[in-house]
Amino acid sequence: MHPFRAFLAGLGVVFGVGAVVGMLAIGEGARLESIRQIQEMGVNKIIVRSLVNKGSSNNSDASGEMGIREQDIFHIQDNFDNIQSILPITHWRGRIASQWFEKRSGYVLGVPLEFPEITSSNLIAGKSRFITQKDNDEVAPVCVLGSRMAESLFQFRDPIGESVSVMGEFWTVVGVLDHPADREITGLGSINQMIYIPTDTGLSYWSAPVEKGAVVQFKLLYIVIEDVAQIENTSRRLEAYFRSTHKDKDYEIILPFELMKQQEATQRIFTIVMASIASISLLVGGIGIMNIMLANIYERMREIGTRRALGATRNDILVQFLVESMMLTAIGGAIGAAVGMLLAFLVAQYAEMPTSVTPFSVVISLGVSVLTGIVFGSFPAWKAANLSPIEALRHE
Amino acid sequence: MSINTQFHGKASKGDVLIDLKAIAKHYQMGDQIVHALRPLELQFYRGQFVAIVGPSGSGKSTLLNLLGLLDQPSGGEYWLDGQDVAQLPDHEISQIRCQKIGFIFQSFNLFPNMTVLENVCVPMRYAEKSKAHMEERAYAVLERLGLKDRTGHKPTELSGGQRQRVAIARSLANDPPVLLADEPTGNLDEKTGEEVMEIFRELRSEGRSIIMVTHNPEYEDEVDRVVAIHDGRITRS
Repeated sequence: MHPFRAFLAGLGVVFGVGAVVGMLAIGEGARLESIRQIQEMGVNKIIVRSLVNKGSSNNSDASGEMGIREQDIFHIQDNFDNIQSILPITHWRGRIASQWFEKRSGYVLGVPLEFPEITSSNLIAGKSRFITQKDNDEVAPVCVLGSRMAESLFQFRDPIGESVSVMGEFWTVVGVLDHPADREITGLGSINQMIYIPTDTGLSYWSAPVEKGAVVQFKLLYIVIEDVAQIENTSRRLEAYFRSTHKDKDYEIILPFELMKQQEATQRIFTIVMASIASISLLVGGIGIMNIMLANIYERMREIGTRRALGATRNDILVQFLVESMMLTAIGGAIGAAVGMLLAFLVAQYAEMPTSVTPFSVVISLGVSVLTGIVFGSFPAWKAANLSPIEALRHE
Repeated sequence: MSINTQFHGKASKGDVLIDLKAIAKHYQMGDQIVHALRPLELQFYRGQFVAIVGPSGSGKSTLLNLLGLLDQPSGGEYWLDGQDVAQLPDHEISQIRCQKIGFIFQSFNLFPNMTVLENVCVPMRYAEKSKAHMEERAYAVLERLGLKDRTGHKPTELSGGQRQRVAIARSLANDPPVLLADEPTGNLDEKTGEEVMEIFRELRSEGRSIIMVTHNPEYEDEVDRVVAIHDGRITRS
């Protein structure tokens, strides 16, 4: 077979497989990234978030309070089973300063004691500790800094034991909290950029937090579920409760578990689209292969006739040319897989998108390219096998 | 190792190797039936060197194609080595071509991408011989034809005479009882052509049957028997 022409014909398969492997790597990277984000939220949790709808404040109750209220928490505690714990997060926003540096605006969160565990973040710096029940009981003015907040207020100094001014009040730093992947708290920002205080101390210093003119005492509720198998049931009941008590829909229920399922559905669509593109490109590649194999057989008529005379059966000839077209597409597929991996690497490198080449995508593309060789090599091989030996031998 | 072949199988009719009974070939061309070969009776004997002669279009190539099982007769019986092979399915016919008939072509028909040794091994591959057997046999026939030091060469590196000797070696690979040669000297000069004829005579003297199509009248004196064909009919045999 003419090497250069075979190479040109194989290019269709090379690019087809290259595109498939590359695109699958990009898709897989995106999928892993969003799964990682969802898993960080925790699949055993339901998150309820307060929303402030502008223009609907006239519907809010007499206290001017919007979003999640204390009575919601009590109601859930008293009437729902399958709930391990409810972790409300209160937030304030204001000027924060150490004696060296200041931040004009930052979030101060009143969080439950289990906060580090539920968010899987770690205490760092020497004698770090988190907020304790004792702090709440004594209404102690202590705080824990997020690692990046600590850096911007103290730079290289050890913040433990130092004072921080938050909206005019002084707090003693008792710990530094860090999440290695800089995880976001739904709707607020990175864990590492917050200040954490005992909720009771915060409420005793300041009134309930205000957002866009409305009182929003609880920004978030983390509801930890006991039996994840029943999570959808519980979330349906929760949804029904909130729908009946919050007529102006000042809440949002986020189900990481549900997001995961949506993600999987999106992925399925992506896979179907990819498969369609792949089949079209491999169809084009396959037609190229059929073309070169027909030309190849025409050029090698005499060889076919001679082989028949020397004892080759029709089947021998069929197999010979099928193997040749399979080899052609397999080599094309292998080069294509390498091109795809290179593509994935370049995308990760220069477009800064996460990519992931799975062994499955490589195996499936190689398999499909070999299959292309068989499908599109069949007709030429069949033609070769059914040539009359005399005609073939007579061919110049 | 001797290339010498004893008589193959059991001859069904004395020393008759090939027995053609009322064999004919005709085909449709438009609304006319062309009789390439009129029904004919013909025997070939073991250990004979036979030349088939005749002008072009006389039917001698058709006869050779029928003898070589490359074409199926329109009617009649073809007994080869005690078996009627006229109407067998493809895989059986292929095996008979492989085992019982050695082909030698005018333009050698060697495989250019293979070495001399590999070329000689091709018929043995189709006979599903073991690798050890193939190599041993290929070296033996190549040595017999004086090509011992050419085994690793490509056909393009050889002279015309050497190429035809490789082709003869290949035809002997499966030790067939009959060799069919289609104008084997047609692409060679007179001297190398004579060398090839000498090889055929030697093979004949070792007991092998050789049927050769030629239109070189000089060779008529060098063979055991001449079969002349004209207009699809045997005029001399």
